[in-house]
Amino acid sequence: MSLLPSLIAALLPLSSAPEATASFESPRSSALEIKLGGVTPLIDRETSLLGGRPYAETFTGSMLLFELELDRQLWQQIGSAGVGLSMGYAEKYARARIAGTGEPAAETTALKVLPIKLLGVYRFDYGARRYGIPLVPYAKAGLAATPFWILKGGEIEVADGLRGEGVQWGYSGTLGLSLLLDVLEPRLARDMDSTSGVNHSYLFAEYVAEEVSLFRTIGPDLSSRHWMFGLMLEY
Amino acid sequence: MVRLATVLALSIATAASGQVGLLQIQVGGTDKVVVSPSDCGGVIQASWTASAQQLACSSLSFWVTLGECGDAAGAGDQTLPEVAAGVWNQQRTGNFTIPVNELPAFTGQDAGACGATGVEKKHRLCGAFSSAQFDCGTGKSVTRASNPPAITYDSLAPGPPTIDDVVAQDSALVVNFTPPSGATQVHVDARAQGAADFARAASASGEAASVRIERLVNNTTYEVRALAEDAAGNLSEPSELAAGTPLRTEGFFSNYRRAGGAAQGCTSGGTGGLALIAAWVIRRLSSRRIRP
Repeated sequence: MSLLPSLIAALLPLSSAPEATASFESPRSSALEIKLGGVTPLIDRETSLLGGRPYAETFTGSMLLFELELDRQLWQQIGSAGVGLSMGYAEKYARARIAGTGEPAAETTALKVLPIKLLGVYRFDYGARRYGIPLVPYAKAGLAATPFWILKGGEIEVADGLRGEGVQWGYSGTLGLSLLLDVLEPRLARDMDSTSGVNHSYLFAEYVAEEVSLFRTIGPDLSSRHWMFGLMLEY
Repeated sequence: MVRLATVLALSIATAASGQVGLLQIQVGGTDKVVVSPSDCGGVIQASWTASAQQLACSSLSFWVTLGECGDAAGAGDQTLPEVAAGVWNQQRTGNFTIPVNELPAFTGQDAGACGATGVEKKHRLCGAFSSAQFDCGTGKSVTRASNPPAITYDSLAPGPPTIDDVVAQDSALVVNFTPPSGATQVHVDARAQGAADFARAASASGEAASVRIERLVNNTTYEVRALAEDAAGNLSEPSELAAGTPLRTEGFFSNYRRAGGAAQGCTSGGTGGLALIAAWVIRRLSSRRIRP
């Protein structure tokens, strides 16, 4: 079977899927997400900046964020709801500048962030489970903490007597849509469930809005609006 | 006097009876030792443990040779005190020393004196005994070390490292170099241009390719040179001079601060941050409650 018919079939409701799946399904309680996305922190929007754009002037483009998320489902009725904990890592390097001339220096400068989030998660998978609709919308919201380090020459950069490191606190919201992959290969999905306990696998895309600048005394504004893409395994 | 603690392990297999004898000589936990001219007045400390067949038919002998180990010491070899048959087969452990200035490199014809420079000579520490299961007269077999340790007298200085380039950093210079073979350390000396004397600025292992010299004055040109040191402590001639000038640089944080960024550095620990979030949530909930 070619890929296109498979995808078309995947996007159409399959009335026979729920019964077939339900009869073989093991209990599900958790989900693991692996995801990647480009993140540009909104540092340059800070009102205290006097017309300067330090992020854009120092770095080129966005940071590549790699993130892992572990969800625990606490309620499974019309959809599923639970809590999740995620941790990610992103870094961005550029050449430092020679003071006075602005010429690129041999040393590098870097911004490194480690976003950590405690989330409430709701997935509307009722349609997928009841009617075989392979699209599952979901939403997440929660608290965010983002430790960060700013390096120059491999060490924490110090400017005006201050060290370029700290933790930013705030909140995060996410809207996403996931594609149930089981419908592409239902038999393989059932085998995976019976052998490894993974009930379902999804590809997903999600839009994340983070405000981690609640307490403006502790570092650059690492808030962001970005897309993440990844794979989710429900088990 | 320099004392070299030594740990060597030799496994000796007896060929005649098929039984395995064991002789262990320890020389600093390794199977080789390197001595230099500064060790000439000292000795190499060694210890042994042995086991063999039921009957010890000969004394346990040790010797140092410039050639290959045989069943016994040859002409020009440095013979060491033997351990009597009744002793080694009973005690099965003991110690001995090897005077450095009596190594064959210094005692044979045309040999130079210990302390001579520009010399690198490799010796082998050999050991052997004979034993038998029942009768030394007819069933005796000679065993010898199958993996004799090396004792190297090394007064040959390694070649100098090659400085590939000097990279200027903020209050620092990174010196990239290629060390010579046999180097165990590379030292980098530095001096401000025009100064008379060099000072040791940094050192790295012989496998490293760069060192970073820190706490330099920006906008001052420094001359640097590199020297290699081998396992015997021989120091190479200095490399060709190279120069670099540290320059003040600005990273993202400096750029951010100069632009008016509000960062205050690390002022909040995890507990404090959680407390602030809790306070913010409570304040938000309270403000909603009193709204009409």
